[in-house]
Amino acid sequence: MSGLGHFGSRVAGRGELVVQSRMGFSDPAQMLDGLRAVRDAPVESVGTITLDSFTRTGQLRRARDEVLRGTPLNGYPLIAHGAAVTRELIAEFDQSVFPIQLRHGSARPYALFKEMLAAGITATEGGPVSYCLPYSREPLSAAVAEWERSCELLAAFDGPASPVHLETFGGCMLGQLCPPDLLVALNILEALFFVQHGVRSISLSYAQQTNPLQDREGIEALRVLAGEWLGGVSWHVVVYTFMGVYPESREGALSLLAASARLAALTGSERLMVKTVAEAFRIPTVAENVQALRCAAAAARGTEPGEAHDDCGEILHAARTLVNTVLEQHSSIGAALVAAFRRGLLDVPYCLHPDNANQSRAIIDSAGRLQWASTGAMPIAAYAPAHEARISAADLLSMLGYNRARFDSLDPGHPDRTVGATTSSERPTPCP
Amino acid sequence: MRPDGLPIWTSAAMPGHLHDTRCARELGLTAALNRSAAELDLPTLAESGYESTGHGIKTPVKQPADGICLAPDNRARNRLLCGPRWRGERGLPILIGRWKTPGHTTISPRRAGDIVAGALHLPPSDTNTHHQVAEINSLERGSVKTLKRSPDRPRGVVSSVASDAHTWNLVYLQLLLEEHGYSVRNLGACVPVEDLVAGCLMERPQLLVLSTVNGHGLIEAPSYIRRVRERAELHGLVVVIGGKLNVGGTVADDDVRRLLHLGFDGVFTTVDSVQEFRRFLTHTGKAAAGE
Repeated sequence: MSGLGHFGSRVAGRGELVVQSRMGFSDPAQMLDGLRAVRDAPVESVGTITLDSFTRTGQLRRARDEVLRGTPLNGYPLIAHGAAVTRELIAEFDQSVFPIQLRHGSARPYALFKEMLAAGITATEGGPVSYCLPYSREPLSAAVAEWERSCELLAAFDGPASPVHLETFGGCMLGQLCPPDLLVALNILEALFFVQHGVRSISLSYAQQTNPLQDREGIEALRVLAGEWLGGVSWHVVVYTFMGVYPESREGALSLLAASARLAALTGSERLMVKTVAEAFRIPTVAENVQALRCAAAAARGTEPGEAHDDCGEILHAARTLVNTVLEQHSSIGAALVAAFRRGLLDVPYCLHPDNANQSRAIIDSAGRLQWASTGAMPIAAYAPAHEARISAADLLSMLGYNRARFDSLDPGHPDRTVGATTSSERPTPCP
Repeated sequence: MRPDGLPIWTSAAMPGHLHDTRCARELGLTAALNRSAAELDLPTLAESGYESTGHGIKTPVKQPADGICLAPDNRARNRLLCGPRWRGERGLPILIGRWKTPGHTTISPRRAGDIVAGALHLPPSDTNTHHQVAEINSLERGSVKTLKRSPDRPRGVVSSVASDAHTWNLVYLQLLLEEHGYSVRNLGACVPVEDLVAGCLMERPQLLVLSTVNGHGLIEAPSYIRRVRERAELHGLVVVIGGKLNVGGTVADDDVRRLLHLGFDGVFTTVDSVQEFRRFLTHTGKAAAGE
């Protein structure tokens, strides 16, 4: 192990919060410009290559055709360009200082991982549940089988910049409206799955939701459980800036970003995936990504890690129950996950995948906390207010747009000015 | 059947007393195949039952009844014709042998064509998921349900396109359609065009809503609408599309016109899409209910 090139320890070894964007362009020249701009930005950052959705869903011929035709795709078509082009593209980056992560979103990643390793990239992300249920039609059992051999491929890699780093996406299920206890449990279960198949360098994820206090409790619970379960493995935590319906106003978008940076700093998280001011409208440009990185880094610098308070009890307890219940299903964690979803012991709210029971429902309570309106067959309690279970289209839209309304109301020129109140701690930080 | 053994087309069920060649003639098949032989140099290989259906449909020479061996030239011709036909024959098991339902159907023979049509549209490769297998095997039940369903509740299908994994838009649209009186089948994320057509053939909806927000809509939508519009069974289906259809953010008027020209009944891509679509729903909902 060269150690220096190791993504996880590079991230964890820096004193400051490492900020990362999700950049991906179909044109290699543009991709290179993007990576250079991120490297040269005055922030602690790592590089990202995000794949396009044709490559992600295995429509490789289509990706190649569109590349030949010159159509701009929504990401970098790794296999259409091939390992040689990609290797050349990233050759100028010293990965011991500026490691690069491949972000793919695929339930069937084996071929992608092979190409990635051939191209000299040794950090990636995903998971058998987190990249199957929300994003694909693959049966969960097929995704689990593919991820088993994919993890073994990553674990067996012995080249420069090994061991390979793998981040679980389990803390981001559907981006929003998934309560923290389930996010934490899925994180731990996927991480255990990775470990069972030989991966030794892991990060755990947590997507910012609707209430800063609840998010803090969620991340603290995640750290407690990771400490209990992931001994002997190097791990760190990555926070995601809110992944749902994003504020449209510039000020709103930046303050939501700053809030997530403060959340990451406060909880001692090592890495932050940022969002840009363009998020509500389209795929952001390089400049917008760099600006987001600078804003996030600035907001994080002003925040000291807080004392972990003991009040993460409820989330911790529910997450622990979920993890233990699933692990009882089978000694192989992959099989246990499949069995748990089949029996509804894990049930992601609003997830349409045929292998998800889709009986659970989450709502946002008056304090902005995510609560279970119904937990289906999961072994945890519902919040059960005097609230009828039926959620209308308008209810759903307002819950999805909760953060947009709240943060857009910060912008004096925005029509939603009167909606929602924001505490002074959520005031935007001036941007460099 | 294509030369590589993939079925291209199936007809509606025909009455059992009609001979194969008569069915082929009535459906206009023989004319089409002879024309493709003459103009595209693309002859058809068929079994001997289709003898004398035209110059473009090549059938083997029949064995004489009196036990005399065929002349070597005729035997050679038969071998040449029958040799490549195995590929085509492979298509039949794809349609019938793969699924339980076509072998044991108990529904009205008139509707058997729908089941075969559904089988045609599920891809015959190893990429079949168990959901698809379950789906085709439950086609029979589905058809019966369709027949029994009360006619006054319009049906809607909500779907994404193959490369798009977003689902909140689909969850919202399902609730919205349900509130407008539709019974909804939600096909979910990353729906390949074959699954969409099969889903529509099964459901026979009045409204199909395609929603995609990943920016590839303009690339993918044309093949979806073409495949839906080429199915005679789905004639009259109202099809709309909405979301973020390209990576740039604004969809040009020309692109909207092109989608409408290809057969979409509505294209919703602006910031006011939700309001516009609700108005559209109120309108089409009434039309579907016959008001």
